[in-house]
Amino acid sequence: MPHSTAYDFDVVVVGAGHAGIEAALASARIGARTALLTMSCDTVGAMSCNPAIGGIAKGQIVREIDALGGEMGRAIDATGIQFRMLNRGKGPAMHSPRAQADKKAYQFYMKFAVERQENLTLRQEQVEGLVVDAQAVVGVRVRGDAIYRARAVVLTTGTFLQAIMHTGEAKSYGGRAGEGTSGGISQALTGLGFELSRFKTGTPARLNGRTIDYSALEIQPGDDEPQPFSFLTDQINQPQLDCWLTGTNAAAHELIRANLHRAPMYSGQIQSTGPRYCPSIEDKVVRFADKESHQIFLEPEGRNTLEIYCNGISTSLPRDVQERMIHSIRGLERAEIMRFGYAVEYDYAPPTQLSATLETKRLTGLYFAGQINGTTGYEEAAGQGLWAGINAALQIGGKPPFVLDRSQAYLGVLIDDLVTRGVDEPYRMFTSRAEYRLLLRHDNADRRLTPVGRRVGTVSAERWQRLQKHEAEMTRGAAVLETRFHQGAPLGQILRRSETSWADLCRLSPEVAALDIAPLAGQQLSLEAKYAGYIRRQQSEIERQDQVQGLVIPAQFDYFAIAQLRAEAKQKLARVQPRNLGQASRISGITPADIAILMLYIREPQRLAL
Amino acid sequence: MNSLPHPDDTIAALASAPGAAARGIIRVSGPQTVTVLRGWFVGDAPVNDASPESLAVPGRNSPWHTAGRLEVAGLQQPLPVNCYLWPGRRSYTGEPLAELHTVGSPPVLEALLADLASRGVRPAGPGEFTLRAFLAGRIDLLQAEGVLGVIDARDPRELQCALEQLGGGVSSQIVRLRGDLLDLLADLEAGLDFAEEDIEFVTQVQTVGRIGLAREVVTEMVRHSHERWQSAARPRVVLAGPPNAGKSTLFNALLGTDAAITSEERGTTRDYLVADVTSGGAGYTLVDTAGRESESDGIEGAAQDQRRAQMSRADLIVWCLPADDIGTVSDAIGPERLLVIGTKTDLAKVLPRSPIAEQIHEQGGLSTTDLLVAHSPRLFVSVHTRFGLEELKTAIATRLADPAAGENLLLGTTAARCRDSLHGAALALDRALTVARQGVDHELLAIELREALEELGKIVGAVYTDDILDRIFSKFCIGK
Repeated sequence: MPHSTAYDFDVVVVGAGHAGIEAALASARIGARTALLTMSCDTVGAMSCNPAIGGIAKGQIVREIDALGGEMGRAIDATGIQFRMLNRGKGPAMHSPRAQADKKAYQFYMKFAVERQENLTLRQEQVEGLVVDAQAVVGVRVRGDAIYRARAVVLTTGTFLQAIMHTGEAKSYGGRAGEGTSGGISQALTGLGFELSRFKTGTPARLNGRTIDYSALEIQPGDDEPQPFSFLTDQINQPQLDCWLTGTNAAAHELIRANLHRAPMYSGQIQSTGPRYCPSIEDKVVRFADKESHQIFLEPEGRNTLEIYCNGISTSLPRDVQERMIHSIRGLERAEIMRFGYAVEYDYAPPTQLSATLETKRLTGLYFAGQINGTTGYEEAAGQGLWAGINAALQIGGKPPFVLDRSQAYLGVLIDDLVTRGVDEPYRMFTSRAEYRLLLRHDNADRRLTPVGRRVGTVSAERWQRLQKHEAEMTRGAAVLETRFHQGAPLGQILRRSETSWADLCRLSPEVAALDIAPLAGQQLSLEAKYAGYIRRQQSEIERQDQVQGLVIPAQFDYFAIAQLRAEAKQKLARVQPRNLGQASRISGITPADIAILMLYIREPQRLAL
Repeated sequence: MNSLPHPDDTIAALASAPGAAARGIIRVSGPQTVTVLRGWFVGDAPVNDASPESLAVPGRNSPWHTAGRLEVAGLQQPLPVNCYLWPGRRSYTGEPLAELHTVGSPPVLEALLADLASRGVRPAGPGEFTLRAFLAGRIDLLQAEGVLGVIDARDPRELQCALEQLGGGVSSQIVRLRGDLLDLLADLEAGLDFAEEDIEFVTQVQTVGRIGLAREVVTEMVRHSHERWQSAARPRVVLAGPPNAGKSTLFNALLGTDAAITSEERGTTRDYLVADVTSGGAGYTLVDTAGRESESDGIEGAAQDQRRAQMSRADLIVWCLPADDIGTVSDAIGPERLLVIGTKTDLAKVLPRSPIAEQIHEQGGLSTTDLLVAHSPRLFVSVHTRFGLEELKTAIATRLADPAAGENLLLGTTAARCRDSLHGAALALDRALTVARQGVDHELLAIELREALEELGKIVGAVYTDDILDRIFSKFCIGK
């Protein structure tokens, strides 16, 4: 069918949420001519749910995105209204930055970042289908009889594919309150042979802060010394806002129980799976009936609004029940609801259909990132967007792909889990998913990843210089720790003691004080000394595993040609198409014996020809 | 994550048939082979001038061989060893390889394997020598497939045997222990990943207590496995059959002593008796069980439990059918482990008729000999007249030599692997206890618990990854 208008780009990114923004920026920064298509230029970087960035494991991901030259860290540093380092009481690997964002300021920051990026075109378009030639995607078709030609397309559709929102018995089509759905893409994908499935997620009501009785609430302030997310931010200077704490009670629980038959999750109106770690309040009341109260964090949505997010009571109960439940809560007796909570059901594409670059196995040049892959969370989405955007740009530039290992980054864990094991509930990152948690700390994300970002072309000169300076300080510091003594003991050994801080060491040793290195470098030297034994153990474990796990399985490897493999193993391996032996071993249902047999044929591929 | 066998590790395994034999062989393969032996192996002839390396001459096919001694931890005397060393790449596995030929005593071989493990030589996994031989081009694909193709089928059975050898019920004990540790790990992980929840997932006192308990269970299992090893490495032959079938008399006859109390009273043998026997060219552990009784109360009931446990661990069950009282053979025993014999054949001619025999006589008028034939005993024995005794000894030896029957013979390295894992778990739990007592670094504690779990998982063939989150979500109300 001839189109009246056609535009030419290298890479087209569909959707300008957290995944789409990072994908488009990375692709443009690497040098690909990139188009970012969104249903509305007014919702770039919108925070559909909690206006917060980071958290445990997620904060580490934001630091990794930043270390690779992504935008998320800088955006939250500029627009955060409350910063807290979570898990401070635990070891350094557990420290996780989190911040509340000024929701609208965050959006404007992101829109501006996209607008001023060279090589990047932001445009309002409704994408309706893909343009495919043979086994490759060559562009997208948009409403209004136009096509965008491209050699790579990144789909970041969020919750907008065939989206249905539920509030009690009421249903409406749309992926976010007040917005529409993009059904055409679902049909296009199914038509091309992609498997789609459905997930559910939910969001709580928002209240007008003027109607909240704060005197009855517990205050939750931010950190005295707020820590920035970005390695480029020296300091957070803006004033911080308080959050507030209240909780549900027996009366609220009774009300919910009495109205369960009107909750879509329980009436059968919603069949799809939701995330267990983010249950609705009706779920909490049913599943943990003996718990008398559930926490509610009241979080401001911005500096120039009184709208308050009720963190902890996500719900799809009918309006009247929501209202009565809110009013039964301490401090919220006269609170006015500004937006009602709802649940949303949407299509996702089971991510085992992707290779480790997030390119689909079915169509060359087509990438999926974000919630379309069955994940939740802005951070998980942004990480995938960055990953897909980098790979799309590298692919059209004829360069080798960008893939991180599980031992290198939370992002490596995330992508490997998705493409190897798939998802059976909306996927969120937890630190317990990472085998080498002690190495994947937020403080060393730059040392782990900025050199990789520099190789692929997403890291600016300024970021690189900062890392060089930091590395130089670490080297100087380590040398002093190794070679200098205090009262007969090597300085490194003194620093290893749990009670000795870097500042203490500076007082003990004039040589250390004379080093004059940044406090961050001092802290890092100190924690690396304290955890040296465990860090070494994890590193040697990685080295030991690498030699076997790293054995590459050739693309298009024919598992069915190996008579000794079990039928189940052949099917699973053929479906996932693991890129190395380690990934193969992580597929559920693959046994060590399968791996031993596979290893034979990989090491001696000529045997297959016999 | 599954740990894969690393092809560059140095590995060791029993290469001779386990059990008491004149000679036991342990094979060591891998880059560290020469290093491990150097400075440990003391040659009888002055071999220090001719170091193993100097003999690694290209083109040399035959191994370097010398007699000597090894100081093995846990043994009083230096162990006499014939060492065959292929120091270069011209071995079966294409890498430095040594065969240590020594006495065939299981405890000695165990001590030698344990000492090797302490020197960084780990027990080989199933099929690992074969895999290396294939990778080195020493055997062809068909041969390699022959071995590797059966790993899947063979391993669970071999594993089951090894677990039986470690002691009754070890498998379920480990599964339970893993469950407890996974619960604890889930509690700790929940505290790490959900720090914002107003939930105290687990207290320090509870943590220390739960790890301490797990440590005790593992200690107990390690102790138990050592006790079991000696008899475990030998095939077990169990005498079974109805009470008063002459099992104990036969036991004494095979043993050549009066170790078992024998009497004419029914059900005299209330516990089981064990003795090591070497006869007919085979070494085995002979077990006399209590007779089959229908009552199951008190001591008698306990004896029946013992008997069942013994039968399940047996490589061969010699089922005794007395000529004077025909019973039935338990149908729970597969034919490959069963040898049915007729006992007390000297009494056959004057036998008092049992109710069953009576009944059959009335129906068909068969002779006692016919009845015995109907139950297909292969052999007829009378200890009293020594009739058939030598034939029985030969039959037992023959049956034990048949690999299909003596599946417990396969164990060897598997049992060593299991004990290696138990040891690893014990060490990890020790470290966990230290960390837990300090009370802060739960992420370090988690590392130790994961290591303990991985070691225990190797024994029962389980991986932990997914169920941590399941455990957290089923137990705690998580999430905002």
